[in-house]
Amino acid sequence: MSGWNRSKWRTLENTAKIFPATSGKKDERVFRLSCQMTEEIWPEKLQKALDRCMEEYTLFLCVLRRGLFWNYLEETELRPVVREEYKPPCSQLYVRDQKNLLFEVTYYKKRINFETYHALTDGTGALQFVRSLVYFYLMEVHPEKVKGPVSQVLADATEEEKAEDSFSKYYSEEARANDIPKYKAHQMKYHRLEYGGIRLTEGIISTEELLKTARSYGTTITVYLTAVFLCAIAKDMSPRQKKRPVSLMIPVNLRSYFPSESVRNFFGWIDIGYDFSSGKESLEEVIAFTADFFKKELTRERIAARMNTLMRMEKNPFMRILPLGLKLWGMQIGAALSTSADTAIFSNIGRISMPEECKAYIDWFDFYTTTPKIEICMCSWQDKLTVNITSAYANTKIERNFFRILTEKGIHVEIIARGIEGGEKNAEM
Amino acid sequence: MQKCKRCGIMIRNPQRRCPLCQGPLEGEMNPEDRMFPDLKYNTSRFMLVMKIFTFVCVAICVGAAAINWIGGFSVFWAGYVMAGVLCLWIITIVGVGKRRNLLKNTMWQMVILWCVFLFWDRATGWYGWSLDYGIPGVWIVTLVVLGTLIRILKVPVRHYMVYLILAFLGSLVPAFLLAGSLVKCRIPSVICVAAGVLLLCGLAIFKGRELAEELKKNAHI
Repeated sequence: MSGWNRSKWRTLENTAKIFPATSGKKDERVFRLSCQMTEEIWPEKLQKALDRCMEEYTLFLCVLRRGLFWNYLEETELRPVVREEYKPPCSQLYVRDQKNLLFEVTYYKKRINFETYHALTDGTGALQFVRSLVYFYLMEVHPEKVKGPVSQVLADATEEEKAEDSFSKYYSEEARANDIPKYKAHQMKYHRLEYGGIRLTEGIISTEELLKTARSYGTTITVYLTAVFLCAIAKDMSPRQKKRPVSLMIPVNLRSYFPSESVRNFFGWIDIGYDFSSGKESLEEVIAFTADFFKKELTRERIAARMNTLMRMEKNPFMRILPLGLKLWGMQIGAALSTSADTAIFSNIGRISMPEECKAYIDWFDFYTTTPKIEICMCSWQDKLTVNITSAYANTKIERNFFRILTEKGIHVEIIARGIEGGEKNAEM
Repeated sequence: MQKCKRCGIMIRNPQRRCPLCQGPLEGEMNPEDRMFPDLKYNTSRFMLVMKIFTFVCVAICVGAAAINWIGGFSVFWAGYVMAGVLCLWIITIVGVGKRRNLLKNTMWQMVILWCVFLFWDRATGWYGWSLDYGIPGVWIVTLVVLGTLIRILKVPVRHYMVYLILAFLGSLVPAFLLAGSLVKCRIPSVICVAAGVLLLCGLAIFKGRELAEELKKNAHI
């Protein structure tokens, strides 16, 4: 440990600035991406693969520190160590005043888990990392089959491009819009699980079957599942509650609109609100509305307008000179005030691809996160699409409604559930 | 695999009841199919200890007030007990809350002790001992503690730099007191100011690059 080395540091990206302010027992802002393999995991080989991976993702080797005006990430000499899963999924990773790594790699039976604090990277960055990790791991375990080249799973990008703050790059004053829809959305008033606990209900679905069903409605899987989620929430609402729209926050990968190879945070979001009081409650009607909404809002101009609104806040001179403590308070108040904008969250990282030679060894991928409400995270690998529902509520009505809408259509669903008590005691809670 | 007929789902990891509708399941539970280790969210024993400490503090205050009341209120000595307990409570809570970063903890304790000394000096007749000896004394002790911690814990430069800068800023307080002629006994304060100036010069001369780097990092807007 040489103190003479000039330490590298970087600021947090726009949307990442909120995480240190708002993470806590209620929502640790940690998400997990895991890969279910077809064989038991070898810890030593996983460690080797991880060490190799760290050479490619050096910017993940950092700790979060407080400055006078902003938090920042600083390079560290700490190195990650692979462990068998030793705490509940998505437990606290960022501990204030403690200089520790903001991500973790663990394993359990046939599964490799990558957990990260959201301030470090977003879903796309994490997926990029996991793909490399799994590939390096398979190179260790099956050197005769998985030989490389590793460029198949590594981005064609320099260290600088990977560490780019794409928000600053694409920020422009011009793009503005005054008609971004905002909602005062329905909030579920269910009893909550004890603070810090999330319940996970994961559904494994055949991509093929789901695609067929979505096609039968003339739409895509994403639109279809978004609509199903809206309907699943609406099903248990009273007419009084329906006076408020059901709104979903949908994180958007900005790399799809603004070319970037950054593995740092580069995401935004849109809010989609559906008014169930109008009597148009059938799945077909919700699908039609959702498809329309996506078509209108998921364009470069509209996404840019949203992004720039957030950036203007960050660039505001008054905001900038506030000392960090006050800023964090301000952000907490802002977050508390905007909590009514959404009923739930729906996050999709889409289809995951891996080189051909890995296919025999990978069963499926999982993706889920902590949440103060209820959140669906989905991803798909080959014919296995996983819908992971994490919930802070004690009852399982939404999960039941959601999966029953699918099974009633004849779609096969396999469930993996984990309650806050862990293991199989879930149902007794 | 188990099955819930009502939900129409198959269940991969063993469950006693349907995780969706809590209904009964068909099929055998196979413990080998477990997908997650049996790990619980740990309930914080630590918080409980802090709550007990707080309660004991409150109890001492209430007890003192009660005894004072029984004996009559000619002298309200319980007030001093309460203030003392409150000071102790604040110091402990901050000390424990910042336990993960001892250097930061030291700086916090310095500021709190300054406030405590000023308060007690004020409350006991304002003889000025807090300004003459309290503030410079605490500052010097802080500097010694910082130095010792940095040595023992082998803290790297970029982690301790900010606290030495803060320590220098702390030495400006006795400097202002001297400038405003608020101190009667000047020696301790002068020692403080001199040590503060030397500290800054030392940092600039020996660790100039790290100092500039730290300022840039910490003060980026």
